[in-house]
Amino acid sequence: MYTLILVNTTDADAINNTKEAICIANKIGKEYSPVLIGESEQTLSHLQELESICPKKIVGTNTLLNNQSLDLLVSSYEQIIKKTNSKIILLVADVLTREISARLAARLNIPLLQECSQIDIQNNSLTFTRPIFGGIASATLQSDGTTPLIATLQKGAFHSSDIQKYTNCRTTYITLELQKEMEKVEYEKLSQTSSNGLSMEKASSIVCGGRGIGGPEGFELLSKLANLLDNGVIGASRAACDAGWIDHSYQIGLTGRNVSPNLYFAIGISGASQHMAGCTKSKTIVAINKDPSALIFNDADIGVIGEWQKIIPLLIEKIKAVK
Amino acid sequence: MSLNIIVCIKQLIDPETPIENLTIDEQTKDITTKDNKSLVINGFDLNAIEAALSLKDEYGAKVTIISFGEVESQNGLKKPLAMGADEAVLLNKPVSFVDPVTTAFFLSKAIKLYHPFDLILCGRQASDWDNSEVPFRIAEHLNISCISLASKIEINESMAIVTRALPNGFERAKTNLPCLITITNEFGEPRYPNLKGIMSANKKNIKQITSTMLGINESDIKPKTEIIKINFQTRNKNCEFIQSDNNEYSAQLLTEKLQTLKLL
Repeated sequence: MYTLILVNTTDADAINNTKEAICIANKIGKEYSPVLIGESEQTLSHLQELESICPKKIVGTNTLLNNQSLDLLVSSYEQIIKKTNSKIILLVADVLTREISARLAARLNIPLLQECSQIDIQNNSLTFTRPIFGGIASATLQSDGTTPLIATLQKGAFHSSDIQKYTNCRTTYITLELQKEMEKVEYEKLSQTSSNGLSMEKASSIVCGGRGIGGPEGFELLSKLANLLDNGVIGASRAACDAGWIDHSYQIGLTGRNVSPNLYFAIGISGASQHMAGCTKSKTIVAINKDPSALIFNDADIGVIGEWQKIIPLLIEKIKAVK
Repeated sequence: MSLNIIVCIKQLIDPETPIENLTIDEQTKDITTKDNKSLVINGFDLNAIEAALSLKDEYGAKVTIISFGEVESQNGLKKPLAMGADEAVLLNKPVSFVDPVTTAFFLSKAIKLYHPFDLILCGRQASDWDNSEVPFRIAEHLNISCISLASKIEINESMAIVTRALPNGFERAKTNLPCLITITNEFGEPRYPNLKGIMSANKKNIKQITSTMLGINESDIKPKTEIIKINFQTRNKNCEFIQSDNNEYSAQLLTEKLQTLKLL
């Protein structure tokens, strides 16, 4: 089964993402090509990094592609998919690729399987497993057999080990037929909060506050605790962000960030599955909640029953004393 | 200027439902509730209704709510009417598993045939399957431009100017009407219906559109994806509890525990 891997070159993790997708491609059929669009510096450097692990690469080019338009990207992928005889198209899921894949699937009238955490071959056909209902259940699906099909992969769900190296690799350049009129939406960057975001996904410790924090002041106390911990930052549940106590860029959960620190403090957080979907990969979860029946204790390794307002200042003193 | 705004909404199982109250429906193979409790409107779709109503406040608009659901779910459409929507339409769903392809097909067809529009608003994704697939499929079917993850919308002449809330910051997107926009929770909390709204909603009829009215033969509906099985995740973490009336003692125990685990 020939696989196309559509590479989101705007993602800083593009190479790792592609390696994860290659492992899936190898499992289901051996032959694969990453597809890169445009000739920006970013694209060219990705192309170089993929050189020895991808015997066949495809690059779509057109001078209109300089402005990173989503509409042009979708049209570019559409043309390349139509020109190749692929059976499966893989993308690593993020807000951009999920939009691209849904629009492609609609244009090409083909099946789409979003956010897969597992892909298996059963009786010669593929099955796709993914979390649903905020992660409290997982669903296994199959397509009706229409090819190609598109699957987006949950970021980090697949391991990218032992990728075969190749010599004699080549790159096919495809000139795309794009017109200015295809670009229906104009985009302009306003502000970047990525520095905070980046540190959150790489943090070793996260102190996360939820609805129980009750206001913006509480997060100042959580910051004090975070500052004492190894590479520590604060985070928040969607309820706390929606209440306006802290910026949405701190949001952890299904529609926020997905984090996996060594130590995760869940403070004043009920433990709704939508929040847990963003932090269950943490090594140790410590929950502080005054309600012993709170759902969060089902996911926690250590549960402290009590009022965080009283416990955290004492905890800060104790940690300072042993550091 | 008066706008025609359509909001597509999904009614689904309350995401706060405890796992013990959920089960698998033998026929659809999808998750259902044990006590057949009524559905709620998807949270992001409530944000989309709020977005439509705030545009109505600002520019004047007719707001039409369309939901693809079973006949029993029509009462759920009273809420958006009570919030201030002008019209609500239930698109009758054949009782079987429907995939996003079918949902988008029905919604697009109904919009094309019965509801002229300047703007279609949808929640960014539904909290049950989180596909974020149907809105984009609708935009493609109707061949209109689309902008995702709006936290703010302004209308200037025949143009939509949208602020997008992305994981790494904000972006501005501009496009001509008609277009489709997906709304994220950053848009703001949905308003509560007031008494006057509730009374006027009670007097309004929910319009019904059937497959026949859309010229769709139900036996021709072939989902592109199918559920094979659903497994509930068992939570098997064994939480070690620290509970004491003495908070200082709790803090001490926790510190020692974290030290033992080499987390400090």
